[in-house]
Amino acid sequence: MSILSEVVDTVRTLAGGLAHTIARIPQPKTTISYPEDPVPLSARFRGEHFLDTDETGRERCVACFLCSAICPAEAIYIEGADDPRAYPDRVGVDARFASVYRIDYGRCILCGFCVEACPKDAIKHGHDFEMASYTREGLIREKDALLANRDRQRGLHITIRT
Amino acid sequence: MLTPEREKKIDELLTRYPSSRSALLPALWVAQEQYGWISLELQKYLAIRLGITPEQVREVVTFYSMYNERPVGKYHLQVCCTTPCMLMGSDDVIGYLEKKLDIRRGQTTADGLFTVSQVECLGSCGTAPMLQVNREKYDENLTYEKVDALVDRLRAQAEGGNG
Amino acid sequence: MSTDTTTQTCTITVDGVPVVVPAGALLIEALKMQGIDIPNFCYYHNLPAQASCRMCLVRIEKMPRLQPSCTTVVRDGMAVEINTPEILDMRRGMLEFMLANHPLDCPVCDRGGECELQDNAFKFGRVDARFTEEKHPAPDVDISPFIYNDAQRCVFCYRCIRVCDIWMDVGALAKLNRGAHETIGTFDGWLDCEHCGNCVDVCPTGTLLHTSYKFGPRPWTLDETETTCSYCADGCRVRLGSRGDTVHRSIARDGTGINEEFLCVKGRYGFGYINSGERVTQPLVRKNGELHPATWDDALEHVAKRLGEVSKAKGADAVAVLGSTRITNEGNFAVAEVAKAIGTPNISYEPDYDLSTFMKSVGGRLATKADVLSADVIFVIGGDPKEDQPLTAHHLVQPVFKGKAALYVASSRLVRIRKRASKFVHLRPGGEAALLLGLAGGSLEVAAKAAGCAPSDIESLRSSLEGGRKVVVMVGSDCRGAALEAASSLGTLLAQGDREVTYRPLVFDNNSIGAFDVLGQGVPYASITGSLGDSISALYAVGADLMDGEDAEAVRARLGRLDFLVVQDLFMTDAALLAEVVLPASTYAEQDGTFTNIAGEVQRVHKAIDPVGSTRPDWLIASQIARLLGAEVKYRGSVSAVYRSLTESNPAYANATYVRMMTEGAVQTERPSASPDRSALVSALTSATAATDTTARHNEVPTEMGERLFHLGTIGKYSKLLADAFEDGKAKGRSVEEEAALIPLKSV
Repeated sequence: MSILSEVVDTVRTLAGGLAHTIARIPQPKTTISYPEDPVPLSARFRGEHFLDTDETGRERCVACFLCSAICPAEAIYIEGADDPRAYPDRVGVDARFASVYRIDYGRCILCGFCVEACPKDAIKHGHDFEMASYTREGLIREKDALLANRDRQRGLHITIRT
Repeated sequence: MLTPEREKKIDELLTRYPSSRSALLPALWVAQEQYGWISLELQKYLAIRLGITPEQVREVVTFYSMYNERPVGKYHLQVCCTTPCMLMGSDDVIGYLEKKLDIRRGQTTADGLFTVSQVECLGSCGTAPMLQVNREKYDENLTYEKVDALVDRLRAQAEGGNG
Repeated sequence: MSTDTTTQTCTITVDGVPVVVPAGALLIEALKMQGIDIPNFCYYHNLPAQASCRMCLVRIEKMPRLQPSCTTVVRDGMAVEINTPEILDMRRGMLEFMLANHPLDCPVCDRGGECELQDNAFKFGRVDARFTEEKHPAPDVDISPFIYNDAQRCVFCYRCIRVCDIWMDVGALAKLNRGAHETIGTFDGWLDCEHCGNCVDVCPTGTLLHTSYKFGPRPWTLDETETTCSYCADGCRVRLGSRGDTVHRSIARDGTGINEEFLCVKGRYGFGYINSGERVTQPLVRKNGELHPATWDDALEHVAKRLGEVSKAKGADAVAVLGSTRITNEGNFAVAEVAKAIGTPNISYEPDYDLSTFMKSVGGRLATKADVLSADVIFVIGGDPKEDQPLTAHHLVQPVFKGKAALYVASSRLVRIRKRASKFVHLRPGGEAALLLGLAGGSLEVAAKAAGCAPSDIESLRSSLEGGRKVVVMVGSDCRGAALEAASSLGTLLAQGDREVTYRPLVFDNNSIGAFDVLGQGVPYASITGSLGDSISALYAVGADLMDGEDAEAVRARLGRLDFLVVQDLFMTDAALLAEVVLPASTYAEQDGTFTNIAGEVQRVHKAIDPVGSTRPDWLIASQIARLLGAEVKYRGSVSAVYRSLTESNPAYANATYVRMMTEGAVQTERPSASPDRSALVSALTSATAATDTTARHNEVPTEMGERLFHLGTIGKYSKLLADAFEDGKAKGRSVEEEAALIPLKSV
């Protein structure tokens, strides 16, 4: 092969590549400038869970253990307890409530089975996906954090894709 | 807890059956005659008297609507609410009574005159709806007017002091 | 198709497939043997038939309508259909009725996950509910310190009521009201009973539940370990449900052991001491007058050094070692190794029953469950199994209820079990020897006068006992000396006849017989405690309640005079507070081993949870001390090796291997029966009768329900649930007046 044909080939290739690039410039961007810009997520995105409360602010969870039973990763640990007080003073909707509710995001695969299994609609997926941590302990969420997650949803730096 | 005559009556009842448990129903009648109702203490007393457990006595007392576990008014209006009576409107009759006397079923009026109860079939399905006052003759084919008349009659009877 | 008379089987056809089943079996049982489970609620294998739930209906050829398989006996050639659309439709319909007033609150119900109603509704029920009317609500209420009742979940199978009537012979549960308003309840809202909780375990729904397990972990999260109960000598098999390091419940729902599904209040609710916060969790060594935590190595070396010093300075005899009727056989065996390493003969334990006299004269095998259930005459003398050995009491009333056996009771106390006896002989206190003299053919007048009963009582009792073919004699702790000797060989005292007599010593503690077998009673316990501080200068006490008697202060003074006291226990007992070294032991739930029960049967103890804190099993601690004392201990860290050494040294245990226990459950030890001399027994009885205090008045106070059953022992004290219920009287038994008035039912 002569040197000339090699030069021609190189120039053609370069021109072809550049043409492709230039042609894409006016088109809409598919990348986002995370973390500066909000992340677009679908409505049913399965992010970090939150524990829901009813309209009076009582925890919906009755510690039935179905979420931990269905969990394929065994990421959920619950301890049930009795709230002997009468209904107006209870923390939950029933005398039975979870005294410990713990999700280990080192194990959780965010499959959503727990949400499917919940008979009380107490556990739901939020949209938070920023769960990284430098420690294993940092991946564990206790009940208080999961309850607080519900109100954190509004402040998340995301947009919901419709 | 019972008067000597009634104690004697229970003694007589105990001789009538091979097992003392069989004497429970008539013995309960004897006890209810004296007090008008059968308290837990009375049930316990009868249990010891008959040599059976108090639980066996209470099972029977709560099973039959004819035995009262609570004091009842002077006139115990027992409204039959079993199927034929229900179809013929016993729900309306008992509802009307409740409204008229301002009590719920199972309760007694403040003046102690009336108690309204819902009971099972009294065996007079042909004349439904019907009710029974205490252990007297049935009041049958009830209408609101008949209920009004019945209550008025009983009130007058009580005031007359010859109830 | 023909009935084979030799093997007693017959052939039935199930959905067109011929199967061979035992003749005379109930259809539901016969099908179960074929691996076919017919759904049911009210049927329970050892309760009388009820046939009220209608879930087990099947179609039997040539019979009109569907038939309940729980009351139908198989017949040769019977053709049964169990899976037709008609039957499935019927089950769907029945479940719809049962769920009509059901709250459908499985997420909060403690039975969820092991609920028969839930299982059957899943398998056979409708997806939707057509019942739209208002339900009758019934909030859950506590009906005992141990049991709560959610009446709305009931399906009216009456298993609880039948269990209370027939297993427990109490009858404290009632069906109240009727029709749609019917509920299971109690007389006045609070149970007056033995609080055994068996009604809870047989309940197929979440109607009756344990307060101790209320809203706790779900059954599927529990690790279940089958082990042997640590309370009384009956040795019930229990399943400990643990999650992590905590024991959450103790049940017998699988019914695999000698007790089947039966448990008593202590076995079921007394597990709290295992995870009690008051446990000693690390070794303590006294320094400058105060107990300080130490490492195991330091503590054990300290113990070995001090024991060695005392035995060198004052002789091996100056050291005493105490085992216990509470710890495992392996534990006691290792404790005996310590005594051997020191070379002291002073080894003993606190006996709860004079087993050495009993075993010396016992005239036959120890009666097992099978012996009791197949007996035709049962004689209880001087004991009260209802209060002290609940499983024995349960077993002995079963044949009586079925009319297969006659019960005879002789006691100086008005024991509750007399209500089931064909004859009850009320003795004066100490009158047992005189009664036995009468039974042995002595002068009736003399015997009756000393025993405090009528001569005709003794005569009729004797002829009844002699009429038995399979006689079980239960010898209570009221029999002492000559009376105990005679009662434990009653078979030789009665007239010659063709009968098998078996014996059961009514001992109290879970491993009384094991402690006797392993430690023996060479040196009496009293002689050791009596010479503490005098001829004995050092004491190694394992699980011993040194200061539980009336002479606690005297013992305290004696313990104070010791040169060295080491206490190995679960809790800081009064004696442990005085000790120089306290070694924390593990409970039965934290170790492997064996207990020997009231029938001389060896049963395995299995480890359910890891040892609490840094506690160690008794056998491990003791064998480590023995090794430090210079003994050549062959077993290292293996409990089965300890047991093997035990079986080698004790021929009675030779056949009871771990392997056999694994397959058979309880294995009876084989001990030679004594052949006591009849004339010697009679002369001993005669002199005992002559020595009887004939001025002693009869005890006319009836035994109250729970008089000793609700008595907290050392370990019961630390079980919070039991202690709370028993100490402030929340757990009530039936009142003495009601109990005394009850007219006994001869059979059910």
